[in-house]
Amino acid sequence: MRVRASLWISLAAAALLSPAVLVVRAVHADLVQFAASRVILPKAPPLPRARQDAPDSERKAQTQATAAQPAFKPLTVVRNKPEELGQVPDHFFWLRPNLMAVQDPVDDQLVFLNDEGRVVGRGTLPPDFTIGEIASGPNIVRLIDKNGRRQMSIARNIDSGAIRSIQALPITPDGATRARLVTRRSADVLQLRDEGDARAKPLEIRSVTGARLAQAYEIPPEPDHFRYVVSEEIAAASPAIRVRVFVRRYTHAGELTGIVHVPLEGFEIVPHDFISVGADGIVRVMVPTAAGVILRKYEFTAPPRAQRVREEDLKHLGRSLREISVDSQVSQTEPSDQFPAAPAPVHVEVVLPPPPPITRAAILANARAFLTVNWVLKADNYSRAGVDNTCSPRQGNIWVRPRHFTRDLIGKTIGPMPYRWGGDDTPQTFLLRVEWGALAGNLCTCRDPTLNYCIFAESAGTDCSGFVSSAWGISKRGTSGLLDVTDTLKDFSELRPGDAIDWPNHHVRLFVGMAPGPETAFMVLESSTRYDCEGVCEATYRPSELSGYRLLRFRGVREDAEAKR
Amino acid sequence: MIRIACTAALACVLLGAAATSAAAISREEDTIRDLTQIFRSPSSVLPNNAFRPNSTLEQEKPPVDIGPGPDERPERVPIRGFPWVVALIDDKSQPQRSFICAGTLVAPDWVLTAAHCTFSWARRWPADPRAYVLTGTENLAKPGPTYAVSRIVVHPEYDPRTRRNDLALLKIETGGKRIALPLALDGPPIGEQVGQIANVLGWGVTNRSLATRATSESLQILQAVVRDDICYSALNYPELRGSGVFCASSLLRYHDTCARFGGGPIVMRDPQGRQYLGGMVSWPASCPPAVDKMTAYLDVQKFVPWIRSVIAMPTETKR
Repeated sequence: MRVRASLWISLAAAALLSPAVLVVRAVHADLVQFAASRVILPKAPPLPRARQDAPDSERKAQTQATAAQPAFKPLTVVRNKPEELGQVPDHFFWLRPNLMAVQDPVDDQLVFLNDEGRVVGRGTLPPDFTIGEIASGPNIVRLIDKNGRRQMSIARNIDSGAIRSIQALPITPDGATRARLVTRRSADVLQLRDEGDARAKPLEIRSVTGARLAQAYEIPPEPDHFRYVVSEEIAAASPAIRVRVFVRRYTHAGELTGIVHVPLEGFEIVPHDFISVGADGIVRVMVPTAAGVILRKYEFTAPPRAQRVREEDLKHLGRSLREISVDSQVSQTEPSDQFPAAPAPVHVEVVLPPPPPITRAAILANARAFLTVNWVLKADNYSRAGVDNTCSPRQGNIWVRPRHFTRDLIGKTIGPMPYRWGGDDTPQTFLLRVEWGALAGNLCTCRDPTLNYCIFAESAGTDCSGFVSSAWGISKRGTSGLLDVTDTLKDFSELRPGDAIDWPNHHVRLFVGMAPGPETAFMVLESSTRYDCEGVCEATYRPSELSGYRLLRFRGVREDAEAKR
Repeated sequence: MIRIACTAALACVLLGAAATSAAAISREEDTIRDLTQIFRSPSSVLPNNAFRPNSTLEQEKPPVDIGPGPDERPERVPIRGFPWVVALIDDKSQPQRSFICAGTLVAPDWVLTAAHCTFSWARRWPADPRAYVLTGTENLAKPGPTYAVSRIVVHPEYDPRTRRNDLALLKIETGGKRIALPLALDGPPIGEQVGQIANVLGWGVTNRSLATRATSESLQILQAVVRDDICYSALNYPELRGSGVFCASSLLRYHDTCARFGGGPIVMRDPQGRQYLGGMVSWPASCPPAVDKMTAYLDVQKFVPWIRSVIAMPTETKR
């Protein structure tokens, strides 16, 4: 109810404030077939000619206009820290020549970039809108909400400098999410059918390297003759997941005419949507690195003749063009790197007794209980006199409230357990501790032993490894400590619900199953600092997003069949 | 009081609601959880009297007036008399700051310490272990030879919540070098030592000293009388009876193992006068009350078979 109310408020506010959005009579998605709409367009540059960059004079004018505009805040990258996942920009897409957009992870704004990597605009999204899918048309790009009920339309000729907020509208039933049908033919072949386009023939996507083809998805096609497909192949699962990403160019007749191999080296975290192709046929890859965001550009090369491309020949697939540095700031929470997770000078072997046995059903039941703790946020849990909601450990401030906890939520029942750095509460201890007045959650982390690792004892919740440890029924171990009680799986096909996907010294997720459908995607439960989670939540990841993670099986797990005997 | 009542009520509700799951935690257990989240050994942080059942803060206050006579403090001792006493640290460059616990060399390359001292190392949390042993160190500011720990073997039945079986063995990389003569493990059982005086060693802080400082740099010796299991009836550690611990009380008024003594040896003598490892400071995270002046120590003699089995185990089958 609260969410719905805030939606109406945001709709009304956005309608008043934004000159650059579609304004629709506010009707809820459940009730409407299609709302009549009128379009208010600001003075904006005309649509560019397809597959051709803007003429020099126009570009010069644009540059001058940009120079005259106020400077916009750069994109933010929050670096990975040991035991903590950073936050990187996501949902990158190309709009028109010299204009791209990406979502900032910290303020969730849509940030517009030009070809030089400068930020040329920022627009605020409705607070409860989470981008799920990017769909595209000749004149607009549609961002579909994760729950598939609402969308935002970004006109390709948008005046990025003038936009302030972007409005979400009920989704139209005209196939905004295109009817794509993916069928698995074999381990290394997926068929992609676009039922929304009569011209389009089914595409047969084959693994380039012969490894398992995990994903094949179309990225927004631009108004030209081609279709672009991103594919992901799992090159190895042991000792860590290694993924190969390719972009292929097909004609509408279904002929493969070009390919690019996109290496995943240098990524701080691989975002969900990080590849886009412009009308100029150039592949743009948004790479969040430890030093900031860069844009890599690739040109298609002819597809390989060989059925299987060897590892050493992958570099010939696609030609790397210039790399652009994007206006970005890397957030460093004080004091970030004082105690980096460098390997210890001598590897210490830890000999532990066999962990207590547990069935997979019990692991999943333990884990799911974190989603339905159903605790009541009291004023005591929200704030405390003398405790600032700030993470500045040197000044003694080591508590940060999860962002989604607002004063309005006091007295309300909340389902999932919040994230608490260093925490290992079970639902039971969490309830008790919030009853005792512990502050709910804590997002302030640091690595300095002299600051006691920023552990704020009077808070309650669980962090990633605390969550997985609790699900397995053992006392809390760190993300590398979990390696002492687990075996590494050799292949992802061995993964079973209750296993873990672990990036030692960074993050760990509990695997709960493969996503339904022919594509390979991993459904997990995790306790994450990510702003769209900030506690225990469910998520689905593509293999590329899990690049570098290890597949672990708890040594105490007792297969259910074995348990029944 | 209200809070305790609320807690009890809530605990009852939780117990009723989750009959099959573990019982709701108590406030004391919760305090222990908080303490273990300090990531240092509980020995190296200031004592928390929540660990001591039925003790009050008033009892724990150091007395202002200790009566006539000089204030006898624990004696500082030279390391050469006790070459098998080692210090555990996790930062070679800052031995004073990173001191965790004491330990005892029980074999040429094995150190015995308390399991709680290896808390963060064994869990690799919040950082991968960088575990070192300082030998020949009288004063932490002047560390002797340092050796890296390469294996941590925690007692398989160690329970951090109940404090049972609180011992761990650390293998150190000596490179074949003989660093010191280990302390003998064999000796008479604790029952035969009742009334005898034993030496407690470590770089710790006693109750009275705690009023003026939180850390200590020098190796000190405390003399304590072995009291068998009498402290269980003195409202202390009743749950530890029969779990491999014994009671002892310091001979110095208001000075007892209080903080940072964890893992330190309690050295006894057999009838021939030979020194052996009789006990170990286990959970000194609460100071003995001024009144009964007694605390529980780990009875190492009960664990000698396990210690020997670990040391004798071939490397490749240790997991």
